[in-house]
Amino acid sequence: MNIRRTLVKSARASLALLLTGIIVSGGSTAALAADYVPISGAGSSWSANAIDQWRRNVKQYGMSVNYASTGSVDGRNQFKGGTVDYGVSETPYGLTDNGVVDALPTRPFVYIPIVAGGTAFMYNLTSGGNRITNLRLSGDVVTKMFTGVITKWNDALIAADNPGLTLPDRAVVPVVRSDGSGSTAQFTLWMDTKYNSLWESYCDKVGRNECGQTSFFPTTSGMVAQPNSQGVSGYVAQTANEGTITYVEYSYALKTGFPVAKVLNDANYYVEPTASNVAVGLLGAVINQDETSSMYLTQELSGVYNNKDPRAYPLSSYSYMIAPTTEQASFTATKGATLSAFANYFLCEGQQQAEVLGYSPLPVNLVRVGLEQVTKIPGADTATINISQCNNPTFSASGENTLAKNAPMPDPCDKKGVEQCTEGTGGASATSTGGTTETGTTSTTDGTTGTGTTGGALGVTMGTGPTQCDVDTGICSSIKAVPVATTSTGWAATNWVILSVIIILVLVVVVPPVMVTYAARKVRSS
Amino acid sequence: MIKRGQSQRSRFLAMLLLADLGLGVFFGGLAVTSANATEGDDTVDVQPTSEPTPEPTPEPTPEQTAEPVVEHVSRTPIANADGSMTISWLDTVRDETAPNYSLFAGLEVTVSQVQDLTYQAVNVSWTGGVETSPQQLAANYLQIMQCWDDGSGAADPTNCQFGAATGATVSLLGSNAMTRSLGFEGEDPLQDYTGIFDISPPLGEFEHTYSVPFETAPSTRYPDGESTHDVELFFGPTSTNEISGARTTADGSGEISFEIQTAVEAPHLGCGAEQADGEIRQCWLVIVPRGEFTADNQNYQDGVNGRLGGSPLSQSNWDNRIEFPLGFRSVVSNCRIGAVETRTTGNEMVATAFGSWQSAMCAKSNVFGFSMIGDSESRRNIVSATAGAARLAFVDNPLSATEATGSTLTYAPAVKSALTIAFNINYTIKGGFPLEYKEGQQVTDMTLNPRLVAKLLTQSYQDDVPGGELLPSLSTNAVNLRLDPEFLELNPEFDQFVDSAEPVGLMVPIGNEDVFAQVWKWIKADANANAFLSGTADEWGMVVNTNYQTLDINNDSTINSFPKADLATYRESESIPEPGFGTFELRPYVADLHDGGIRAFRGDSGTKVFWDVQRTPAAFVSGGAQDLGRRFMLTITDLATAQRLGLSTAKLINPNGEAVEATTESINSAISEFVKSEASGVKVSTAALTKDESYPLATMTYAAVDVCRASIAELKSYSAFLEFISGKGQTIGNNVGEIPSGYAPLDKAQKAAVKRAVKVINIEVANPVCAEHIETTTTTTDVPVTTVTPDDDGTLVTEVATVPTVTFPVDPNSALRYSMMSALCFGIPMIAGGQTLIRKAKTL
Repeated sequence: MNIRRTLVKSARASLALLLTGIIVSGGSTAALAADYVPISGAGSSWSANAIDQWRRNVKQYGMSVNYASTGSVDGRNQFKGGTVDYGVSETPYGLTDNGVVDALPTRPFVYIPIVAGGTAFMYNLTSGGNRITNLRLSGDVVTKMFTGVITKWNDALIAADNPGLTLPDRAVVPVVRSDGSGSTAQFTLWMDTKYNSLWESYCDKVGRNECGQTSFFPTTSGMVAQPNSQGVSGYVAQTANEGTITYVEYSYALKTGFPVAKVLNDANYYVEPTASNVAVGLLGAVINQDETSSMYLTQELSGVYNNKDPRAYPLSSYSYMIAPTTEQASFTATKGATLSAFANYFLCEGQQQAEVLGYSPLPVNLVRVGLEQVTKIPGADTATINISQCNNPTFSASGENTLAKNAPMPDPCDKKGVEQCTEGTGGASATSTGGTTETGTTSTTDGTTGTGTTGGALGVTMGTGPTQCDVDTGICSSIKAVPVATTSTGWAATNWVILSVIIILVLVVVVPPVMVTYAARKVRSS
Repeated sequence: MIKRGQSQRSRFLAMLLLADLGLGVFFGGLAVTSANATEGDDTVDVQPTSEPTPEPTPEPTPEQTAEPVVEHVSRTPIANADGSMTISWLDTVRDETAPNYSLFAGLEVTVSQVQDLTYQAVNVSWTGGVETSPQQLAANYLQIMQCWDDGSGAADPTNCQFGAATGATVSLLGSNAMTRSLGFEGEDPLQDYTGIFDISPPLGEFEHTYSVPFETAPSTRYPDGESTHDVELFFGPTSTNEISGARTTADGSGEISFEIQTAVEAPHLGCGAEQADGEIRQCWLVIVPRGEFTADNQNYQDGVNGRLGGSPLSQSNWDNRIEFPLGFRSVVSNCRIGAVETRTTGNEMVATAFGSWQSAMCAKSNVFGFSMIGDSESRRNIVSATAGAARLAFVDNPLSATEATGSTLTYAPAVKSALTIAFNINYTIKGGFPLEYKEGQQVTDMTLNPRLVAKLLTQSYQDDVPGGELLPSLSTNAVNLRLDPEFLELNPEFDQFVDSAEPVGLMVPIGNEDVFAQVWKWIKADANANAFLSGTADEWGMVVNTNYQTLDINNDSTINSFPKADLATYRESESIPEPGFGTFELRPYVADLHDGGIRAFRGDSGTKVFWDVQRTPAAFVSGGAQDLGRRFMLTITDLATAQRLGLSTAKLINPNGEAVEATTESINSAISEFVKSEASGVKVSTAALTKDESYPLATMTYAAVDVCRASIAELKSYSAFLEFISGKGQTIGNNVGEIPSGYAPLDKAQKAAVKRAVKVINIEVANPVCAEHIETTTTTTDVPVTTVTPDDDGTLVTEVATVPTVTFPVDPNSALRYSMMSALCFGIPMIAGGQTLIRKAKTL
């Protein structure tokens, strides 16, 4: 015993010594901070909530990253003008907008996917003094609301989407972006693709011929235009601004505590732009894989719009960082080293935060090609850029997107029909609309144990597994497949041992007497 | 036959042996287990968990009291007791015959802090100067810049960050005064125009140009530094901290905030970085006074536009400088990017402190990530079922009983601080008024009562509403805060300000935080402010903006954000399309408290109300930052941010009618009055403060941990983190791991509360009772806590060692356990049955 104790103690001492050595050597490699130089960028306010958090977290590594959330168009222009080290945009260069071609910059560059998310429809509406938090809208209805066809909230078309709601006789006030915006570009592309005639006839009406996809929303009376994502979400979030609805990244709804509309997808389910629904939606995206194309890694989204998965959010997309691939003007290899280290961070560890913030982590295929692009930045420390060391939450051994794979199915009450779920959405998930009072607690109660937290109004009937309520979305759903990765590895490791032990035991106890009896018989018979 | 019998006998003998072996393993296993148990107990006693790693205490930064060995120095500058330093121009022997001599002779400059610097603002003030020419910066002003120290004992012009400024202030200066350009050869009789100062003519041109190059401090990447005439490679108008022209008031004094930059913000200066010899690089703050005569003794009135010309870096001007040695804290980071971060979320009150803790913890190989998502989102997040959600949240208020249902939460006090109304205001006094001598200086004193803050937050001043001066509903209201008789009663100095001095509103952040709710509670608890919000006019006839009256804030117990409810729009002319600009262009939200502080510091609120037809498409644009020396900025921000940026903070009237500024004492006083909440051990703010010295917006932020939903690995990280913040992490200072001034350190009882939370977590780690941990033990222990750097496991491994490993579910030696079990199952039947069977076999 004493020897054993001494051994343990000495092992500990050597461990401590080892640790001390590591810490000391860590000190001597030092001056890491001096390797990074400040870099600055501008662009997309859609992505800004994620970028701001990453900037804050890389400070601990001695990195100073600046970002001005001035809108995608400004980001592209500033990158083109060489006033920033990187730009961030939802749309690539080279598109024709309002008759003007957005020319490619003269400096060589690459697109690096930065973060995925859903363009959400955040709204401000009450009925009988209570805030509505469970609004559902089908695509054509959204388009009609933003093109002046539907002007009242109690319009029959909105009511048809919302059988459970009493809608007020109030004007619909669409709030659009006044600046050149990637969110606007994403939203108008969706309308242009899916509801082309509605969109183009609106454009005709307001005197803009053939809008197509545009970064500048053509406005008409009854509409409100506000600068950047903070402006539109801030505007809608004013209690007094009832009747307003805007398109903005989901994170802004979480930040301001307001609900978002569930949008009808091609599987006839109304879905919310949660991280998992966006991940599922993006499985339909076609990514330009032609390395020789100036649009390499940009997205073609019609497959997302028409995704038939019941969980897919139709307005899912991702944004890009525009990064230089040569040293030019004030962009030196030193800056390139910092920019590539930052990009490596946000593609991997940074994506861990995405869901919490209201985004969706980039899937493995985009991260892999993104990392390849990062290595093209001058000064990139290619040795550290390695997908096998990338701690991205969507990765799995099978290569499937974990998030999409484990995405819960929508609740039956989210199916187009007479039923309508009552739980709140977005930043108002704690507030349910209509129905019984106990549903309010439903969405805030943890549901992992599934102890009958579903209110009567929810009508969960699917499957037989435990009921799980997503606190972010308030969606309660019965999980057919609880993430079982943990249990299966447990079986492999220990349960086989137990099983084999039992078998051996049985054999040991049973076989000898049988053998003995058998042997005895043989002896006798012989 | 015999053969068979023998072989059977030997088989049974082998079984017997096996049974014995099983018994041996069984008893051996028991021995190991008990040994482990005693070991574990020992460890708990011997090695208290307070310092998990026996790491060497980091070497304190060498305190370099840099003593400049400038030639002809008659008095060596020494730091004052408060850490500031004062240097007179005549401390250096100067040429008495120089025409500028009499203008500079009385000049004495004080820098508020010269040691232990980090990225922060310092105050530069001076007396004995000559009043700056009115309006323009034609003559008699100071130019201020930061330079790196090359060990020569004096600042060198090639080492200075200067010559990149653009904007309003620069346009008021004479030719080349804001640049590194040396103009024509011979312009300055003392200047060298050869070598590095001579830029050869490009092909096809004849004329040489002359300029002072910038040389970077040597760094890992460029051991010899780099020299360039194109400073844009290193710093530009948005990143430089140079002050191209600081004004001196009529009484010869002046004052300005200067942004000190470290190697992180300005690696080309390298201040605070480790040099090749291991020393921390020190820097200089250089002040070049500019008089009325140029380097070649020309009067400024003879210059272009009647302004003084010439770069401050030109030798004759440079010789007139006053230089302060600046001592920096080390900015060396031991954290290598790429490690797995343990997630946390929280509000902004903790953000600055957490940044420092993060750096200290990651140096100990315990890397954290922080998502600043506000209190209510954080509360929802830690108990959410979302995989990968953070399980530690920094919040002011605990989770409600409903939110906490089904969760095991523990709370630990983390930081104490305060929300402030900070300002950056210069005296701009009407001609002939008594305070005119303070022109351009910074206002340091302001008092606000709840009703004034209510007016600012409800767009009740005409200036805060688009086209507000034309609205009948606001016609009886003050134009802005500075013209409000109620404000002037509390702050009579502002009565002497020029009419054009007006704040661009009170900047407020978007989103919601618990502390914003506290602001409203403070306002509503005040009878006057409460009545104002309900529509009662103040004594001067000012009423609340009706858009806010309809919000019924007085009866809204849930309000935790700053609304911008007035939808009015305005356009100055018919040429601007409908609807013109609105509230979000006139008074935009700032992104967060920190952003508000930075904007106040820079004098740029982000207001966009100028219609720019040059843009495609035409748009409202910003008019740029307010002029240096003519600023009037007000913002809501946290005390730590305000102090770091050198912003003054307003005294707020507390329920006792006392005007109280946010200080450690006033914060502690208020927190001592905090009341119990739903969660045991968590105290929350109250508007019903009774002590004279209590600051109304003091905050206490807790770390809430969801013990059961956190994985064992996360719990270990959280435990180490809380252990740290209950000790070293509460020291006020600028070192890594310390919290900056603006926070009040936790007292003994509060630290004890943190330790209790640590204990709760450690007990769960050692002996899990949560279903989550028992079910998933094998996985949680398998989770790679850290993967990339070799030293990553350090703290955690030690943690494992200190934890008694008696409990089965967390015992990593599960294989051993199962073999013991099998031995047991195997052995007992053998003991019982073996003998009988052997005997039976023998009978055969």
